[in-house]
Amino acid sequence: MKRNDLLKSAIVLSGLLIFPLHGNVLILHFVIISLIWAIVVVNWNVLMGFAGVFSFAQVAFFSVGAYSYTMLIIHVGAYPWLWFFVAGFLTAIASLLIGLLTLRLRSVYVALFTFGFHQILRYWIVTQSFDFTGGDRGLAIPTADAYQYSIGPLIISFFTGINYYYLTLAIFLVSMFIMYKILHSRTGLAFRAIRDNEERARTLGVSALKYKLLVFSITSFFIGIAGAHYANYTQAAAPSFLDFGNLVLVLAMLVVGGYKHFYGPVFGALVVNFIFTYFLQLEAYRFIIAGGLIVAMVLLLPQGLGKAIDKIRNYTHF
Amino acid sequence: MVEYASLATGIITLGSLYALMAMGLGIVWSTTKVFNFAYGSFVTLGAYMMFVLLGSLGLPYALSFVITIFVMFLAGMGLYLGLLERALRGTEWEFNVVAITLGVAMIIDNGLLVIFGPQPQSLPGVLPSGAVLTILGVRMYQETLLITLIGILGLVSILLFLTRTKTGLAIRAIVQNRESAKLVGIKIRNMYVITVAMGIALAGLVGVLTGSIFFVSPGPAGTGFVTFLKGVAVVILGGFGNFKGTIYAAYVIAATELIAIQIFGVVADTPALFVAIMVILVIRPRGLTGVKEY
Repeated sequence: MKRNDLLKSAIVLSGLLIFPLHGNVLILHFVIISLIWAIVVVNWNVLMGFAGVFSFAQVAFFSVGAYSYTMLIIHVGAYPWLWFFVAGFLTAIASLLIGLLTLRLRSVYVALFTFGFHQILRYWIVTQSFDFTGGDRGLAIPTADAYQYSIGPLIISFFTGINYYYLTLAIFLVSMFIMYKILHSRTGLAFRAIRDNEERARTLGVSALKYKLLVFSITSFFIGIAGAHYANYTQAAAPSFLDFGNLVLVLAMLVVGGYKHFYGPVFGALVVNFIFTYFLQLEAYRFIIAGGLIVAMVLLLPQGLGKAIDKIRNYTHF
Repeated sequence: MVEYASLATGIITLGSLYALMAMGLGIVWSTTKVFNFAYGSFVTLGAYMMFVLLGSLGLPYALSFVITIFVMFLAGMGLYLGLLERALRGTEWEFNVVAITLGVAMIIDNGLLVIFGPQPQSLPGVLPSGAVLTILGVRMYQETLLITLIGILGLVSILLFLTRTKTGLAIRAIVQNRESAKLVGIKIRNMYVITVAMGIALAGLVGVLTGSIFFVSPGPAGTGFVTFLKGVAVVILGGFGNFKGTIYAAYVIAATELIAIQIFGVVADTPALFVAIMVILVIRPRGLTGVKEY
């Protein structure tokens, strides 16, 4: 990277690192949650915007990750680091199964199928016995005594307060970085090829199914990890993740942040999450606002905040 | 013997209802390629509109009915002219349309939830409730019979409209081949407006009918959503672009559902519906009678 870029990245990075020192717990919580959802939305965007796959199963995969992690902790033992990855892989495998079934179909059918999967997953989770998936109460993770590590006289706990922020930030940055690298590789080129003109790509020897499965599983892997981390952070997994309103909220993050823009959805997650948490008292009104936001964005600013931020960056030469 | 008769009447009633649900969704999808995720919300909206007109304003049934359908028709025009037309422009139209219809669905669903609360309501009917009629040894509520008749009447009207009127023919032409339709002078935009308006009006009709027989409840888990799912199942089974096929599929699904209930008891039919949708999509996405090209 050029020296300029390196400098800019350093500035942003140090800003992110210094950020939590103000000590306001609520803001920290807000940012952590936003970052987690940002991972989901960015990956969903890669799937839809960069590879052209119209899937609505991403929130379902988030729940798969969350539940896998929770069930592993409860039934097998407290190895959070291991379970993060296992949950991610389990989610990726689930996504491969779904993908094999549906990715040969056209976009509307994929949308319907994945939507159906989302609903069935919710139904299945709620109707299983309490011991297995916690029914409609959800599962709670027993408290995190095992989460402390001692190095000599020093006790480090990765799973408290400020450290959670850094952990989340680390997961976020690593997944963004990996995704960035993938998108700027030949594989990323293949993704865009099948999005723009699938038939032409296929005549050129790019297997649409293979790359769709690839992007599906990679994004699901990160989403699964995000879900696992969310379960870790909130110490629970609940079927409320799969509420229809939640799905539309995440869609709102995508629309606001910028469809087809790489880091736009991060800001979408921040904005929508902000509206959602700030107006907590209004309950159902929040969803009306979210819906209205989606409609307004599609009509007025279909390329989302990402595009606007790009323009600002151009203007200020940042 | 009596059981078969009541099963048959049940299939006719439910099937007609499902057929109407599917027509509203399917006509718009086949013609404009817009899959209206907000369809269920409009069904609920229609039901509540009728509820307000009948209940709070105390208007007579026929008048409320006509007003509701008419207002829903206008709402459909507004939906297209105001929102869908802009969303359909550009290369992102598939995504934009899905996003915007989901947004509208959220607004309507939660708006109704806020205004009317989450309790299920039931629409008062024309005939005295509980009045029973016995035909061929089958006891039916008179109200249900009336609803069935209205439903069948609606279906027949739509079919006649599509086959006998110029506008209907224009719509079918667009479904068959949009470019050729343009060539023979059909104004696509006008047809789109009419189609979407009709679809929403049908949604209103479905809302009114469903609300009379069953309950209506607002919100993302309420009747609108279930209706939407059933409509989706029928449309997918019937196939893209074929209206008569959709109607057949409706009765097939109604029959399957009622027979399954006879055999297995009242199963949770929503997830079964989803499984059915997913299976059909995997095995034969174009449905029983669908056209090959989407």
